[in-house]
Amino acid sequence: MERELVERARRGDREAYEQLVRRRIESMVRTALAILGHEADAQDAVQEAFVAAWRRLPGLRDPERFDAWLGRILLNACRMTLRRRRGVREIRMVDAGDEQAGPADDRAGRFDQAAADADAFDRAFARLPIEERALLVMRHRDELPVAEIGARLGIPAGTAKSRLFHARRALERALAREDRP
Amino acid sequence: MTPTPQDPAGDAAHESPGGASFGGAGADSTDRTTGSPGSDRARPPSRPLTDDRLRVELDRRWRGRGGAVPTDRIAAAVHDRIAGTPQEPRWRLSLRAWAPRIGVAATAVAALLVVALAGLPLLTDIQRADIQRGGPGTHWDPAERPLTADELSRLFPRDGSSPFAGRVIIAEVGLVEVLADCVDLPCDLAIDGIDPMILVHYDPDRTVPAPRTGETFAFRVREDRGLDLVERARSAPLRLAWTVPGLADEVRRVDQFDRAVPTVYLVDAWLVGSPPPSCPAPFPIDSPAPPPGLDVGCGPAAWLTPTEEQPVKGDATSIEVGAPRDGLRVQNGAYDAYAPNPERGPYLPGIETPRRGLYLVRRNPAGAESCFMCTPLGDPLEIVARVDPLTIPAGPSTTMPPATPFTSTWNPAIGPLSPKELFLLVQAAAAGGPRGIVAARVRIQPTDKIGCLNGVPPCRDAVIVLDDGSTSIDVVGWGTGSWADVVPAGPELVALGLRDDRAVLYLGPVTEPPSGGGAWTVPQLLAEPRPSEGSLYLVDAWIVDVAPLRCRAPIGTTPPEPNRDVSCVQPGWLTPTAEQPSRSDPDNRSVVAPLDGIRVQNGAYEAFAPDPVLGIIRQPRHGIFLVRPFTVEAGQCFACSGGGPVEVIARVDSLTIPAGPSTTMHPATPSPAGSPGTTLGLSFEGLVEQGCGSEGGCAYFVRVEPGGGSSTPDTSWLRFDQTRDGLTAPAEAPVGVSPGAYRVSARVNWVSDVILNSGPALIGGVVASCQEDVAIAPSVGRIVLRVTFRGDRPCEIEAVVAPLPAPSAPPR
Repeated sequence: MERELVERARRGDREAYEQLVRRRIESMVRTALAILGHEADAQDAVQEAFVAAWRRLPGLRDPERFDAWLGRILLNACRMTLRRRRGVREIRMVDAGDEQAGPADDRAGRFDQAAADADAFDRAFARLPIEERALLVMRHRDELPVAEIGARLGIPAGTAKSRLFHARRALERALAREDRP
Repeated sequence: MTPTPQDPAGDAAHESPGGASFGGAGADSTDRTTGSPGSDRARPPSRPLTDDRLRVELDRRWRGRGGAVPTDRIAAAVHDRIAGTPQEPRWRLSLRAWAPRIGVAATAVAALLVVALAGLPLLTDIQRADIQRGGPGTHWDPAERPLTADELSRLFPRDGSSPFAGRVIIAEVGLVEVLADCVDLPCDLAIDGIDPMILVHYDPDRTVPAPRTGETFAFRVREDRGLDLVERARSAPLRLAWTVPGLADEVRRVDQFDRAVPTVYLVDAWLVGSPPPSCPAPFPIDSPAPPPGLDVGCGPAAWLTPTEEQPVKGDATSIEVGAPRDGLRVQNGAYDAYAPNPERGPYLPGIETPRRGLYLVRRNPAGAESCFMCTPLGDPLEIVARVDPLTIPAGPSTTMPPATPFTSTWNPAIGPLSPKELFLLVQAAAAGGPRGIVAARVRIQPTDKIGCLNGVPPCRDAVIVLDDGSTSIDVVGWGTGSWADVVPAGPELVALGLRDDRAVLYLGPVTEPPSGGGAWTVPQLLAEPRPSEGSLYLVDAWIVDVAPLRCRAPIGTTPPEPNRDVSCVQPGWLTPTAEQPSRSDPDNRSVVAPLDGIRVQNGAYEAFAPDPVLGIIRQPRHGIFLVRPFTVEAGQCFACSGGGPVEVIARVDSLTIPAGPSTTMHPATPSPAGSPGTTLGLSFEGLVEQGCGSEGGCAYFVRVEPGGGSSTPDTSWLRFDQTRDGLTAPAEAPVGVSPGAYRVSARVNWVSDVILNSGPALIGGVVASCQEDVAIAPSVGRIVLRVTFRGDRPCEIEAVVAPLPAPSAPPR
């Protein structure tokens, strides 16, 4: 059934493609969200990925690999979104109340530890390149086998494994950096 | 790098977004809310990164704020956007198999005669255009791509035998059955879209499985204008040739899923062999010997390896053979049969010198059971052939060339593109032509992203309006924020990426070289006192590097971005001459860097050098490179003794600029029933039932393109002239049209009511658009293309046929 939809979409059937899209929106947005950490960006990236996939669909050779192929396109869309973001820097305005608050150490005591952990994790994660974020999401959140991760990224499984190792190390280092006083 | 109160070491700019350098790594939206000054304040250390914590944190990010995903809204936006987005065609001529019947054949012959006579001038033009494009011949590198049908046809002269007989080639073509020749036998096959026909011969005991169109096949060239089918070939993800580890992975995957489909692979590898060891009989005396291509028992073993690895070690008295761990076993004797210039090593008699080549291989499952000296990387393979690069002769093509002749070449070293040249390249890229990075001197006008809110298409960031104001090019690439803060106000030299959707990607302003021309020299850039970090430079240089070094990673620093990595792993430089950096010892960091070179990021040579050589000796390669300076902490740039570092962003190659639109439209393919030489009158009418609601007015455009999936751009967007009486066609609109299929598009853009410094009014986003496929039959009369614009609702296109005037009565 899925294969038939992909075949039809590949021949230009927009209705079939929209069915494929609907079935994948939620998981694609959530994956992009895990990678990018920003809802609007994730939705934009998914939208761009679906449109790009539609354009290039006649070039897809193996309909069985549609999801892996789409995953690669989503990754590129995330990368482009991030690249566009690089030119933008939004700086949080410090509230007057913040400035008048007591020393940081005092307030740190009031931090909810889980929230602080999440905050540190997000900042550390944001330091990783897109490929490394995607590797970690696919492996540790989606629990995909290494061979499948390699197929989705278009790299050999051995390479995926070593990059996964490096991504994990990089995240650990970035987290340690976040913990530095 | 400037230390800040928040970052005393000054190293945050190396990683964090929006710092002193160009964005840094990992600048995502998360940073925008949490990367505030003061965020480094002390707090309890976070928990260690266990698997469990990693999963929990990623799951938290995956869930977002817990709200539902707006599936309907996204689906609707995708629906709208793909409604106006054509798929990229896999363009190929379709020459259907035919079964002639006498009546049909007679009619067809007569029709062809008429077409041939009437179309003679057109065909002559096409051939002339093709010869102009042909030049001295085209180099084909099998590692990169398969041959096209057009290139394949050039391997066969019209008379005589092919000079490439016996060579194995790989081509992406369609196979069609020649029905007239098969009654009781399997049908002959021919290459689709080539005339005269090229027959494909294959083993009659087996059939060629579908699909047969748009596939990649390996063939052996015959002398008699024919090909022997070797097998269907599967290409690697990024290019045609596989690496050894990539192929091992792929073969394992194939073993799991679709082992029944016969497939060959092209692998870029070193072929190494060993002399025959003394071993017992490789198989029992009473069993038949395996065919030569499948014999992987004890004997003169051979392997494909990713590096120039020698499996044989020893001295003059004894030798020791060990299977290379990262190699793949191939059949015995393969070295002698397939290695280019096979030779025995000079220092140990009988030892073979590894040879690099492109080898065509297939699985050898029969050998997996009794494989002698197989490797842990994978099962044995069979080498079927070696595929060498070749020069495709120029000359008349036997496939239909595009109707637009190519007329000039842009060389980035000489100067930037003009807006008109850029426009022609954008049109060509949208039609499947070359894409790449270009430098152009243009004025970019922000459009305030109208129509782009909430992802509703069409979404354009800015436009480049041509000098005559008649046409525009969409510019994308900034995303959010105001273009007005980013792009230069006047005509400036900028770097752009050609896209496939009639738009260009904005990369940034390019600093002009001090002595004019198109590109900086390396000495000029070295002499620049403070290369601006925010700007791009085009550099005419040689790119060099050394093979990967074994070195210790810096302690206590986070890994750099791959495109900003200037550690000791694999240093590279841009140099003014083809000099080779020297290295005294591959196991340490003893590299003598070129003093007159500019350090580039590690791996730049591999990524950007034309035709890189990736062995131990890496040949310098010349090109025009787009670079961006960046800064690193003191001591972090390895071998930066000359200048730099700079980040190589792209290689900027010469491009062929197609000719501008003709004033007569031709269809993509001649109408089979019509006469392609006939030209009918063509005119345009524009009616405005309702304006676009902009204070500054509206701009109305129409475009006519050849239909039928052609890659031939023929006209650009034409802007209607607006007069008191309504819309009239512009002077450059085509006045004639040949019979055939066309696609007509129209759109209306809003125009800004703010005019800056008495400049031209800025054209905004698209308010409404429409599209119609039109078939024009021969001899119907005069064609009027009428477009009715209805505010923000879709416009409407009609092709009205005005009958030809009746022939006047003969005088009495």
